[in-house]
Amino acid sequence: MITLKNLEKVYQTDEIETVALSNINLEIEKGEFVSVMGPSGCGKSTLLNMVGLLDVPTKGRLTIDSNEVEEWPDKKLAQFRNRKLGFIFQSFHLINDLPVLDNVELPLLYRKGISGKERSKRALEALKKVGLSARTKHYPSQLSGGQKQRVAIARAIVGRPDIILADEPTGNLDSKMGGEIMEILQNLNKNENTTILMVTHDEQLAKRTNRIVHLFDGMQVN
Amino acid sequence: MIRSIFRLMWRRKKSSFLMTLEIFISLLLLFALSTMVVNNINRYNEPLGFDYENVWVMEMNLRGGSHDGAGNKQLFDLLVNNIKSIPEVLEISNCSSNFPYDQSTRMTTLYNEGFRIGNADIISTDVNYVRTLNLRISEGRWYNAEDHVKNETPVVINRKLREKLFGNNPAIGKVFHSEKYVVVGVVDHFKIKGEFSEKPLMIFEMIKPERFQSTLMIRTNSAAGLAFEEQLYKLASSTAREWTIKLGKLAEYRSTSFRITWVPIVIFSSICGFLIINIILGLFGILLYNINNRKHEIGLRRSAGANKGNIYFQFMGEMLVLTTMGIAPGILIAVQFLLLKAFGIEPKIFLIAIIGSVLVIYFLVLISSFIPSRYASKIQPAVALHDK
Ligand SMILES: Nc1ncnc2c1ncn2[C@@H]1O[C@H](COP(=O)(O)OP(=O)(O)OP(=O)(O)O)[C@@H](O)[C@H]1O
Ligand SMILES: [Mg+2]
Repeated sequence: MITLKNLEKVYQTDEIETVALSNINLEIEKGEFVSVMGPSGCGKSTLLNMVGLLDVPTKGRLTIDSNEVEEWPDKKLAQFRNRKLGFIFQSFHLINDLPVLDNVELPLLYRKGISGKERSKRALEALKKVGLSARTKHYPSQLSGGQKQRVAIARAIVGRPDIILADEPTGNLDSKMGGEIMEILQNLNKNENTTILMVTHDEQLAKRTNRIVHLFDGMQVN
Repeated sequence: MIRSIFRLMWRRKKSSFLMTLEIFISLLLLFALSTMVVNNINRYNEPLGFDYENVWVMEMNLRGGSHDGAGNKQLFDLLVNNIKSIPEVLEISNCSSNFPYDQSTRMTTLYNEGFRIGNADIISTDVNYVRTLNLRISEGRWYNAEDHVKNETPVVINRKLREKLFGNNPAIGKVFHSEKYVVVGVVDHFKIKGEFSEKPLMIFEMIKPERFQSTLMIRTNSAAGLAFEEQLYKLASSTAREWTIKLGKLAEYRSTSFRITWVPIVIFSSICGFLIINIILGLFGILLYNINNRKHEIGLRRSAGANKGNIYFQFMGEMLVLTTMGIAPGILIAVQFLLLKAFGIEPKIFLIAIIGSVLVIYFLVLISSFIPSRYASKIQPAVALHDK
């Protein structure tokens, strides 16, 4: 369902040219749980941003569900992200001034034709799935790290995406909490057949996924 | 969408308090300014009631001499006759020193059946005043020489006073002010303090024939210029050697009165303009600063499905909500002025001023938010998420 062919990404800043990714060939099937590993700066986040349509490749092709996304205008890209993709970040990225429920509702705000009531209902369902339905009115500052990440997962799944892109979702958590998060992701993968692409530094967690992609200096290594 | 912006801004009300306060203050300043301007324009649009062009004002200081001393009265009559003989002179009239546009005032408090109805301007004039200043009589007539035999002083009043005293009942021949005055005529308009003044309650009372007052109003043809002024001045000072003569054009007194009205407004609007420019730049800066601090949030929203337009409207919307939060208490205060009819200003004028200043504030906020919001919408999502 996700295909990367000879993908390359070069960042041009002032005089310096950084090759963040080069010659990436990758195919991820529907329902797969793939982890991405590699040292800092090797291009893991860049890879996720490409698949997440948050950035455009310098060279090569990216197809999702046999859609050539290269030519899509901003609006179509945004709509695709909204309907098909869910993002989870290492640093949670919650909006601190909004209560938990509103944070989870965020992707639905950018979807037309959903009433406020329906939004809260779906957000509550998503929060139930991550075991946080009792904290809807809390603000992010009143939550622990693990709870924050669970809110972020609820936000990622509230729109029922086909693909979840998780960039070091357990990176800021201790191993017990990390384990809990991993369990939620595995359940999503198993029960809802959600495709997951996850960046991690944790060998133990990576081993629990279907496949590991190793990156080094922007290149795939096997 | 709007609801979520409202919620966000409500949560951020503490951190955006300063901006809200700035908008609140700008609104009050603009409201005060536009009330002044609209009020003056409104007054200007009401008829003046007399002609000021080609009218000269001669003020005579008798240097302690009496206005009813027989000698002075004779001299005065001679002076008037001499002036009449100048070919440019069309009309001449004697009146008290509170001629139109002048700063001096003569007033009396009027009562109607025990109730105070207000302070009326009184100007003493002779029978020629109506022709000299081209007053328009709408009821009755101007007083004439035969009227002085009556016990009461014959007066002409303006419509505003006529309505206060007599309502819809006939006014001509009626007496008022403890039977001191008898009404012989009504003029619709006479704004003695000029175009930008409030409609006064006006009484013209006839000067007793044996007396005279300190001012002459002289209407000339349009040919009268500097040479005429010179001639008039020489004639006056040679006729009444003991008196001090001061000569001016009514149009010049008018210009002075315009300056007195507008100079404070221009100063006030410059101060307002300066403050408002500062506020606009401030909002611009604060918004830009906020956007740079909220890059992660921008990246996050983009990842959740916001397109460029959504981000643009997010920030524009936040500024509009913030503006509304600042404006709302300002409107509440402004409406109090309207309800209380403060300063005797018509509610209509307050309403125009409120609507006008609210629109101006929204417009200015939109202008100052436009560039930062566009900048926010153009931030690359990957960069926004990447930034530390
Ligand atoms: N927006 C950008 N502009 C310029 N260079 C960038 C940008 N984003 C990433 N890079 C560079 O591309 C390379 C890959 O970065 P990336 O963030 O993908 O690494 P990473 O594998 O996720 O590292 P980490 O494990 O530390 O998160 C790095 O050298 C980084 O400096
Ligand atoms: Mg990274």
